[in-house]
Amino acid sequence: MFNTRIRVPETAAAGEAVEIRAMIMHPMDNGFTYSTQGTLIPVNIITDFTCRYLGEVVVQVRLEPGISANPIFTFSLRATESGPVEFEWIDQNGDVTTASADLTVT
Amino acid sequence: MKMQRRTFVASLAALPLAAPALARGAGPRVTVVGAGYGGASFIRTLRRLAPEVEITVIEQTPRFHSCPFSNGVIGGLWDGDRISFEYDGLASTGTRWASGAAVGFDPATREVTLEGGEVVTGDYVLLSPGISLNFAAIDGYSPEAAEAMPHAWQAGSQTGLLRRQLVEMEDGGTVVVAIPRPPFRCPPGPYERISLIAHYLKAAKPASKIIVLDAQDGFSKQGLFEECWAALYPGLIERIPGAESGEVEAVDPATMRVSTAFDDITADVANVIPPQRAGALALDAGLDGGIGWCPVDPVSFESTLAPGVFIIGDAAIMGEMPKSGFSAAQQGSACAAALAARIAGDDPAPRKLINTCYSLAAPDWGFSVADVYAQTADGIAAIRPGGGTTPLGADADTHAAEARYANSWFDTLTSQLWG
Amino acid sequence: MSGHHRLAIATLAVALGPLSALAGPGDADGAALAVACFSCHGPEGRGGGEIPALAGRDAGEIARQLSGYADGSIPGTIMPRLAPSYTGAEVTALADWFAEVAP
Ligand SMILES: Cc1cc2nc3c(=O)[nH]c(=O)nc-3n(C[C@H](O)[C@H](O)[C@H](O)COP(=O)(O)OP(=O)(O)OC[C@H]3O[C@@H](n4cnc5c(N)ncnc54)[C@H](O)[C@@H]3O)c2cc1C
Ligand code: HEC
Repeated sequence: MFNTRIRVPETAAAGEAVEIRAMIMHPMDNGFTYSTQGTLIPVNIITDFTCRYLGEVVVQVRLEPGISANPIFTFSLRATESGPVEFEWIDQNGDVTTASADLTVT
Repeated sequence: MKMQRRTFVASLAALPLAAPALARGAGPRVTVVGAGYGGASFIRTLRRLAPEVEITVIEQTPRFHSCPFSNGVIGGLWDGDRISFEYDGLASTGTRWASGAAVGFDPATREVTLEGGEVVTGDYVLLSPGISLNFAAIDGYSPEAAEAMPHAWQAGSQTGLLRRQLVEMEDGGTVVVAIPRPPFRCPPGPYERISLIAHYLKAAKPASKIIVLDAQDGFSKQGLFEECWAALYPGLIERIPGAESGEVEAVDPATMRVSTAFDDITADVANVIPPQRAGALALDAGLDGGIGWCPVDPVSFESTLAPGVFIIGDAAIMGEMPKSGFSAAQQGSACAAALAARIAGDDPAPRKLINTCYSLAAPDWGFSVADVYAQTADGIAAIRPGGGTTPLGADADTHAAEARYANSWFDTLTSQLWG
Repeated sequence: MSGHHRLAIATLAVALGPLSALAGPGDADGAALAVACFSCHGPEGRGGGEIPALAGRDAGEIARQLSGYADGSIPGTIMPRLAPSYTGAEVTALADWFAEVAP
């Protein structure tokens, strides 16, 4: 589990497009940089990011080495019904980090 | 005593025994740009060690406004007079005082051009111009934007503006403090400021809060600050570190919005401290070699890029010594001694230099980081073991004593420099 | 230092005690070391508000205090962090220099 920050508005009008932000605190080592000891730091990245709304996948992204540390995703979501917005990150070892927030549609 | 020594050394200079440069009658000419912590200390020491030198001082401000202790003005501990100093005392040490900004410097000829067009030439030049602010690093930030969102990282009207905004803010307001990536002048300075703003808000506007948007992950004396914040200002300060996207990327003075890659915060008062580089005069002359700060010889502080040009204080790369007023003043006297030796035909001798950064987290809650540094041909490095910070968990008496010593230090040093 | 200059300073030292620490190859240079203390202890160590004066104090006493800070036997806020970075010879040179300044 890595630390994450997510931004989901608490409420939205039905049909409104709301802005969602999701960030994971991860070094995203690309395999080309050296440690202070002079050894090559191996590739260590998040490979997959998924966002689900009301249980359905709304965003799915595959990440490659070369994306900078602490990647942030910003996207719009059309609010339809009250329910959870869930986020999932998977790293190259298959370890899963999750976060979620409830969106109330008025 | 001081007077006695000065006259004695002065008569020494007139002796036929003295070094060739002195025997010519008129001594070498030294141009000093900047009469702040570094420059003032240099001038005082050079006057004492080499009274025959002709010193021309170029300073753009009519009075000096000290950044040290300016956070106390912002927090309402004392008023602006405490950090404002006349240059008269310094000017009357027998220097030629050229008021105005230096707008051009040619390292090859050592000619300094003033804003009025006058050109000052010297055999040696000392630059202690401090920092320049890199407004362009933050989208929407500029000197004009700083009239709404002050940086207060160069003291004077900006200090007063930030204080006024805090006083005029309604209770329940949001104060944003934006901190850049290092290196910047005074590593503990932003956190001292946050503490003293919290001290003011706690008493005067307790429903308000401070949001710190910090490009750094860890910071100077972090444990000591956080210990104090937990004890005195619980719940008042929220900090977003660099790893959580704390770095400010854009501001909008019209809506008072401060944005990181993740957050957009609407502030009632926004203190936006931009990234920094060496003073513009040094940058424009290429004395930073394109890296933002000026490389110098660690013993004499002569520029590695321009012979005869000496650079001290915040503008220079000083190894492990931090960018502080304390350090700049130490470098000023060491540099003057090195130049006096040079003029006398000797090699400069490496010294031990001290830095101490006192911070006030409340009027009676002080702590410090203090180190002794050795100058060697390879650089300036802190001597270990030794040095370090006030221990965590120190008692109230220790913090109160350090706060009193901090006040004494400020008054003592400033009266030596500008008194 | 040029020979001429050293000669001149040697003469000077007779009149002005503290400067005598300037010369002496290999010796710790008390005058140069002491400058670093002035921002807190006042000009030439004559005192700075709450921070005690050093000028004109007994050299042995100053040296004992500095060694005490360095070995932890004397408590203090800041001197226990500064004092360990000076060698025995430097402590003696500092103490001698301050002792000779008129208070
Ligand atoms: C909020 C804050 C708190 C701080 N607190 C402390 C503290 O408690 N202790 C501490 O030791 N340090 C502290 N500092 C750091 C300290 O202010 C600097 O490190 C110190 O001022 C550096 O000295 P300097 O001589 O390099 O530059 P300055 O002191 O800034 O002096 C530069 C001078 O050069 C002049 N100048 C620049 N360019 C030109 C030009 N082209 N023509 C003419 N004149 C020019 C300027 O007007 C100025 O007077 C603090 C800084 C800040 C911002
Ligand atoms: C940052 C400020 C600071 C600097 C720099 C500093 N001192 Fe001190 N000094 C103090 C304070 C404060 C005390 C009181 C003891 C304490 O709290 O550490 C003190 C106490 C002393 C004492 C004991 C005096 C007494 O009467 O009890 C001596 C001796 C001394 N210092 C010598 C020096 C020397 C020599 C230097 C330079 C190498 C120096 N100090 C640099 C702040 C400073």
